[in-house]
Amino acid sequence: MITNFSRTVPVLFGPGSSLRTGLKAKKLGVKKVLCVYDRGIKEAGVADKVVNNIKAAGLQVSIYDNVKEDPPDTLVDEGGEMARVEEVDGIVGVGGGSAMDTAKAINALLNNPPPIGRYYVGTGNKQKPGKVLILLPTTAGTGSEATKITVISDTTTQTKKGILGPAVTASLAIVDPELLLGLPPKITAATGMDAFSHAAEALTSEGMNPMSDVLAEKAIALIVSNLPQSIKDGSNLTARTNMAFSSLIAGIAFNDTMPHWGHAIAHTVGAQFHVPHGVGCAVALPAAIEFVADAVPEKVRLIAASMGLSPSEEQSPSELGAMVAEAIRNFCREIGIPSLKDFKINEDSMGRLIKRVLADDCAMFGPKRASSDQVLKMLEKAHNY
Amino acid sequence: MSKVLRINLKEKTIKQGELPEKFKLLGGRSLISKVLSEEVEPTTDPLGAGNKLIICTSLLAGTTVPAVHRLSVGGKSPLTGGIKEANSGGTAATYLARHNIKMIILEDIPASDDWQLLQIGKDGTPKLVQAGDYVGLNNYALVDKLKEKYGKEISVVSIGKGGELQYRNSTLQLIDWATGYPSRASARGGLGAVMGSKQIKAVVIEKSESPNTFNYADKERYEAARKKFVDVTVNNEGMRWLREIGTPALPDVTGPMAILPVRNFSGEFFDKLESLSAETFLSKLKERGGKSGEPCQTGCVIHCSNRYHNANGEYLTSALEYETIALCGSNCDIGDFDIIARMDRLCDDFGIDTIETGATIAVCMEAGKIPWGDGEAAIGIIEEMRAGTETGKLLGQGTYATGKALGVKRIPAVKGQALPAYDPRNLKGTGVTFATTPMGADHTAGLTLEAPIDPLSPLGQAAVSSMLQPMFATADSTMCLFAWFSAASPETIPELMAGIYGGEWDFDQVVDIGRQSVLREKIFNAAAGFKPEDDRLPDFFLTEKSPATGAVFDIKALELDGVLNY
Ligand code: SF4
Ligand SMILES: [Fe+2]
Repeated sequence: MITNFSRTVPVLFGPGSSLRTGLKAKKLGVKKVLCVYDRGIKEAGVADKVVNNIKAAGLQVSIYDNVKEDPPDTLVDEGGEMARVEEVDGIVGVGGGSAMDTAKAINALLNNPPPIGRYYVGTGNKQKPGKVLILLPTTAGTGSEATKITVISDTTTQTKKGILGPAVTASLAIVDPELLLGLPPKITAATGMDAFSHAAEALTSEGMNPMSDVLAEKAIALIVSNLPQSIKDGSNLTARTNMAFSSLIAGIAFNDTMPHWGHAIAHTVGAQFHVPHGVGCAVALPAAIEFVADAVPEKVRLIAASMGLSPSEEQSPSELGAMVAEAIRNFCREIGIPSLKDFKINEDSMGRLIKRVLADDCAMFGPKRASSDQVLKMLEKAHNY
Repeated sequence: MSKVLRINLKEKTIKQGELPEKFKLLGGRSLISKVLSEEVEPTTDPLGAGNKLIICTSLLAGTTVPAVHRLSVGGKSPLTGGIKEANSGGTAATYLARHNIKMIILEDIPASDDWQLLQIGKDGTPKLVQAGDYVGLNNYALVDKLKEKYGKEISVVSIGKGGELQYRNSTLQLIDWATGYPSRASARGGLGAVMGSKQIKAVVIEKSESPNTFNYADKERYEAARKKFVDVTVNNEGMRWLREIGTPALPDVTGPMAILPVRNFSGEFFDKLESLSAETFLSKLKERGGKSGEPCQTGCVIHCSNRYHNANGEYLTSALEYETIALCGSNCDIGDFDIIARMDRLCDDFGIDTIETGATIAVCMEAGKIPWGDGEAAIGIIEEMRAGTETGKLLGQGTYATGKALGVKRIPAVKGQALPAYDPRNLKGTGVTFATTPMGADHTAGLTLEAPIDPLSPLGQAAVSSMLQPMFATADSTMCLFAWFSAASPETIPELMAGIYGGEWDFDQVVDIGRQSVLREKIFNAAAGFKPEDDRLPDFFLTEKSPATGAVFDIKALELDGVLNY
């Protein structure tokens, strides 16, 4: 097997590291940044801290704070327009996946003509690199700070679309676990399961990659022991630090292998019903693992081991898949992941999603193809989590 | 409604009927898979009475959309033992559409030697005519003689001696519009042999004296959609290479990626790539008065075809395509367009597939029968086939049979059909297609050359092939593949379909035409005895590293099994 270990994003890691944002931006030659975040981040007091820090380093700052969940293409175009008018030469994204993905896409528009829809995977359009992009995650889940992809909602088709490449890859990630301290339990749980899914799907994707395997295994083990802690006690800095690290390495893990069926389903229920991404991942992952177990039994075994399970040698791939799936479901219940029923989605609506799941970019990367019937089965299982 | 002709070669009867309503939205590959599924027993002997040869036009034939007149032929393949469709441009589909003929079905076989021509008169009347005088002629001489008898303005679908001898690599040849020569081939799967088994030497189509006009569901909507389709086609910058050079542009792309097959799919780089470059090709054309940018059918706005002249400036062959250049060229270690063009001419004339033939020659080279790169010896192999000697007859059974007989270990074939010009280790998605398409390794079943994924990584290859196979099947059901890939999109095709056939369409519905066809073909093949193990590449691609890239074909069997599960 010959495989790629992509260059990873440079990272500044550790409690308090966000206090070096201004310094780092300056070092990267930036004079004026557009700071991208959502209003929740502002209310939590995180945004002002970062903005003031950048200003204190002598840089000018403009602000785009109209970030929404499942970032819509229209808002990316709006932010891109602002970045151009303000003539910024760097973007600082602060927040969860939505804020970082918006910041990434805006960065792409700094050197490429709008609208953002021109650059979706599959359009064949290449982009030039953007400018300096610094990302500060305030959740432990998306790993977006470390990946070369951004996911945007196409508002005309109500689907999620990916954009890949250097323009949507950070020049620097600043991972400061202190920024996570105030995160409410629900969001902590959901985003944590996003990171878990990145790791588990990276391990089982078709893109077999030993570097990803190592990172993913470690990420799963850390999440299993630290996510419950950081939900129970949101101010536990050790647990938060471990979660921030897991999210980061799970992101690096899937950079070269890509998530698959679980994410294809999460993207679809996200785009259709606005189920938070992490919740969609959490409920879909067990079904996805069960489905691919016969294709990659040895990888499913690694997930089991990382979760502290000890399956016997005799277990068949499907038994193994069922065992790991059930363990993930139990973990999700323990940390309070809601079900799709809690979002008032009834099971009958699952059938409508099949085509969209199959058309999702992530559906490409499973270690095994799925027929419409098989996708429906996964959707039903996700619904019945 | 357009017409269907049913010709029974045992009884010598011709029945004319209308295309059943349920076939209205089918054409080309999809119509063939439908008719074969309904009428041919999958286990039947491909060269026996139970097989049928279906000749039909593409779905959009008869309309004024450019480049949509493709002629498909199909039947159970004597080469693969599975379902088969092969198609070609040229004049035949246009001529048939003007007679409002959608499909010709040749049934049964004559009880004794009794060769016929099927003549379609000016007024559209079909007639069987004794073909005694024409038997034994190869395609170029045959077409000359038919033109003498029936006039210059005919279209011909014919077999050369290759088809008469029921070679499993034999073709049906069609007349190229630009040159008037029988240089367009429905080449793959040995369907020429099926026509030969039915002892039809040629279908001669006279020009209709009162051409049919198409009955559009919504003329205004159609005209607007047609205009858009043409605009997109001629403005497609990504396809400029096709208009300016044609498929001989491809070695420059595939060579440096080690996708171009070299020395029987050794996986090496081609050390004589210069000699097969687009620049060399164009300069040869220029020197001798050949030409690129030729249309194979009237009305095409892409013009991907060419004519190739010899060193004396005389016409040698036309439609010299990438697949021929690769299989008869680099794959035999031959870097000489003059040799390849002679091979192409000999194959077209005799009526055999240049892909299968090139692959067969390379296998002979691998076995040490002739030296690598020896052009004259390669031509000698084709001459042997043309002479119909015992050896020639063996070679005419195709690459797989030849390789087995010579004890060659590395036979590049799937389901008995030789691989086209893409090394599956270095373009893995296409390897997935070669393995899984019901057609046997086939270059029009789902090429992934343009897919935005790393061709050397397994990641996403099965998905891309799975997505593209229905698309290609739809293209082969509706129009010329190049027209489809120049302009077909959700913005163009649904409107076009709505204007032509009425109703509202979305893109996926159109692609479903191909998807359903692929599914029917899979069912046919399963009933013919194909197993999942037949959906695999030859072992050597899995075990031998390509020296150019270090790659092996590493898409797992389980992944291949799911590719056509929709
Ligand atoms: S694009 Fe090429 S093959 Fe297609 S109709 Fe035109 S000349 Fe013929
Ligand atoms: Fe995710």
